[in-house]
Amino acid sequence: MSRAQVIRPAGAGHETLYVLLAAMLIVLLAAAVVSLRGERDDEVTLASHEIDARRDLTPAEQGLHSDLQVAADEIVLLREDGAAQVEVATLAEEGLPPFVDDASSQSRGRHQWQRLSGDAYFGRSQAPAVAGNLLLIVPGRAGASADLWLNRSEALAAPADLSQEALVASGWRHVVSHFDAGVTRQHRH
Amino acid sequence: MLRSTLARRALAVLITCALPVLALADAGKPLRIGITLHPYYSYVSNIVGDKAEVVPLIPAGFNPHAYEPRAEDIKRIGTLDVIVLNGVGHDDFADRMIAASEKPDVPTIEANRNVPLLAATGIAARGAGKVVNPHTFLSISTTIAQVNNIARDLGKLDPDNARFYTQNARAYAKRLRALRAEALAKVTQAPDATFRVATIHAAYDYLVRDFGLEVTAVVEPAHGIEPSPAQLKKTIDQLKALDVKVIFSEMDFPSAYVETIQRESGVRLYPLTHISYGEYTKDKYEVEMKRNLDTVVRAIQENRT
Repeated sequence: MSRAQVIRPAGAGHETLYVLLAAMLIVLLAAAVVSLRGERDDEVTLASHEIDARRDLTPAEQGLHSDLQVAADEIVLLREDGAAQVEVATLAEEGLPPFVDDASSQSRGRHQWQRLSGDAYFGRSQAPAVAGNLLLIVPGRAGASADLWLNRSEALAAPADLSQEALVASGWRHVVSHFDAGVTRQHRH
Repeated sequence: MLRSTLARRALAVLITCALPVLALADAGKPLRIGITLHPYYSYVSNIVGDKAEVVPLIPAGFNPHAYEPRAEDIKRIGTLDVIVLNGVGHDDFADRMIAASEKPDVPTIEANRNVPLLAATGIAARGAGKVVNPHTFLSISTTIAQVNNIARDLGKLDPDNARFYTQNARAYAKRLRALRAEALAKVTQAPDATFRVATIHAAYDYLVRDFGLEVTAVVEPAHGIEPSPAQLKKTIDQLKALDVKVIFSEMDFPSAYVETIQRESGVRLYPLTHISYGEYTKDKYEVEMKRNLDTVVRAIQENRT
């Protein structure tokens, strides 16, 4: 006479529950740590009339952008020296790229520069596919950053109205630059 | 008793008279300006002339890519009035050093404020164009933008010498522009789109862009890290497939694997300097940058098809 005796484990079902709970706890902890310490996504959203200097400009336009920033600093200083208006010819004499005609300006769209009313400089591109037409608006005082506008249309006339609304309406886009992340550093000070 | 009261009063009068002089002496003391990388030593020395002292945060002979702060270097920060930073990824060690120093709130100058930055290339890029390339000191135009920023900010801290700093910065910028113009004059005809260049270290995008060139490939898998044999093979295949004409290698940090690349790919190597090695001197930047510009000119002239 044999009788099968079923012996249930002492903690029947409980172990599974505990293991599941422990696993859930670990997952929740990990999620909490990641959400608290993970890399923040500081994507800067651009307005429709803005263009990102690092991602959306051609190499030639990027080079011109940094040259024009330097030129704008120098224009402000030349004005502080007593020059009422700084003409394009003066900037070329000072050897300031991109106003000076050299191998670099030749390969970057051969812009023809002219000073507009106020402190704006308009560069008409001869090769908009390489680098678009540019408009540099120099600030009134040292330390303020200059505004650069880009328009990639062919055979563009110099803008008559330099207000932001008018420029946006005629297809100009404001070049903006920002810092997202460094090779090692994640956030600027 | 009377004598001693008199003496004490005389002493008090003396101290009262001397105090403003002492305070003035302190205010008139030249600034001690900390810098993190060699190019910034040259920039600041040329801006301040003999009106301030320029102090490197890390001693000559250390590679800034692998530098770990030492106690005596951190202690030196306590004696500084201001620190000039690259601030976009090449001197992150400075943040930790300043935080650990006796003067955690020492003013800093972000040299790259408002300077147009390029995206990092290679694996460091981590997602489309998000990470910036910190080597703005290797191009003349981004250098001048930084020199202007530094001179302006130093002028705010030391208003008496503000004009002197601005004038020096402009004279320095003019000399640097002349270096670039001289190099560009030798490249009478700009290279076309088939002239592809690669670099060992992801540093020279700003420099070659001054010549209208773009970096097609970077050999180092990460900033300052040597590639593994498998990565090296992949890079060599890539260089061949892309028909790269020139590789710009490192003068200051030579590695044996670079020769392997030359042997296997057959591409000519031209060494550039990262300007991050050796003694800190005032004219280092101009001397080494001239050498870099000449090397790029030579690479273009010798490999134009």
